[in-house]
This record gives sequence, C-alpha cells and structure tokens, in this order.
Amino acid sequence: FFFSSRRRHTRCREVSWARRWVQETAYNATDVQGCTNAITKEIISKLKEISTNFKYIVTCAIMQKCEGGLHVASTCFWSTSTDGNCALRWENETLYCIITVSYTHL
Amino acid sequence: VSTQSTWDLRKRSIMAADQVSFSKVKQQVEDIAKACIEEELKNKNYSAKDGPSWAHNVSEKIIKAIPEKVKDFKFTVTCILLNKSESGMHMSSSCFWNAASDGSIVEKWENDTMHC
Repeated sequence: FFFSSRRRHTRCREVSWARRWVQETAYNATDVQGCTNAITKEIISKLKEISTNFKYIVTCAIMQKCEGGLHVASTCFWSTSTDGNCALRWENETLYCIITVSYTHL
Repeated sequence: VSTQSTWDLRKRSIMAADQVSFSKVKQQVEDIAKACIEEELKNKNYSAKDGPSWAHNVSEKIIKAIPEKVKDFKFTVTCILLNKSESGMHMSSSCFWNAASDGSIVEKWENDTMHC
C-alpha cells in the first residue's frame, strides 16, 4: 500500500509535536494524567486531518524516572499491507514518555 | 415458503453481518487476556533480564488465542510490565474508530514485585 510509508513519516512528524511538550515538563503527579489525555487527543485530531480513511489508536504512557524498570511489548493481528503502527520514546530528567500509534484501513 | 418470509430471512442475515460488535465478544477477550497473563507471570518475580521476553510472550499468547475464538476482528495487543517501586506512571489512550463495532479492554494484573 503505497500510502503507508508516507503516512509513517507524517505520523511521526505529528507525534513529535508531543516531544516538545514533554521536554519542557517535569513529572508532576497532579498534572500528568491531564498531560497524557491532552497528548492523545491532540495526536488523534492531527491524524484525522491527514486522513479519515483509517481507524487510529493512540496510547501515551508517562513514567516517572526512578529505580524501577518498565517493559512494553506490542503484537498485532491485522492486514500487513494496509495497517501498521509506530512507536516513539522520549525522556527528560524526570520522566519517560512512550507513544504508540496504530492505524487500520477502513 | 412465502415471499415475505424469504425476504425476512435475507434481511435478518444482512443485518446480522452488519452487527458485528466488539461488545458481544468483550467478555471472551477479557477472559483470554486474564488467562494468558496468569499463565505467563504466575509465581514470577520482576526481573530486568526476563521482563522483555515476558511482555513479548504475554502479548504473543493473547494475539494467538483470540483469533481461534473470536472471528471478524483485527486486534492489537500492548503489554506493559512495570516494576513496583516508588515511581508514578500514567497511561492514556485515544481512538478514532467506529463506536458501534469497535472496542478495547484493559486487563490489570499484579503481584508483589510488578504490575502488568
């Protein structure tokens, strides 16, 4: 599906918008839930501007930097020619942020 | 068989095909997820070395088990393993899909050393 590689670049560019927000913010237990909600909603609205011929699932996890470990694994059952995902990871001094975007063709 | 009842049968089969809905299979998916997590992580303590393979195995088990019981859906499974410590973690998910037919579940599991 020729569309898919262009979409991946576009999506990663849109998702990198969230990186600026994360890099300027220190982990704050009060605000972080609102932050994750706002990031996922904003990414969905930007993805809808790219195309409404896909269904999208966006997840954002923000974890405070501490001595604990975190592992994330993802598997998918879909059509490899039309569907896909991308994952991005950022960190600053106080937190890690992991964002995954999955898309399936209608 | 009268014309009216033939049309009713056709109409019912068309409607049934359109009414594939995640809410009807949600409980089955939850049960599968719970069983796969329990099978993989039972009696295990968090290990930084094994954590990645456990997370991978849980999501692989679930994605293989679901299509055997639930048809007509595409699935994506994400498994997060978090070591219990003094750190906070928040996760959000947003979706752009068909609310009538699509859905998601979140299955949480924990023991003394980790959250899944």
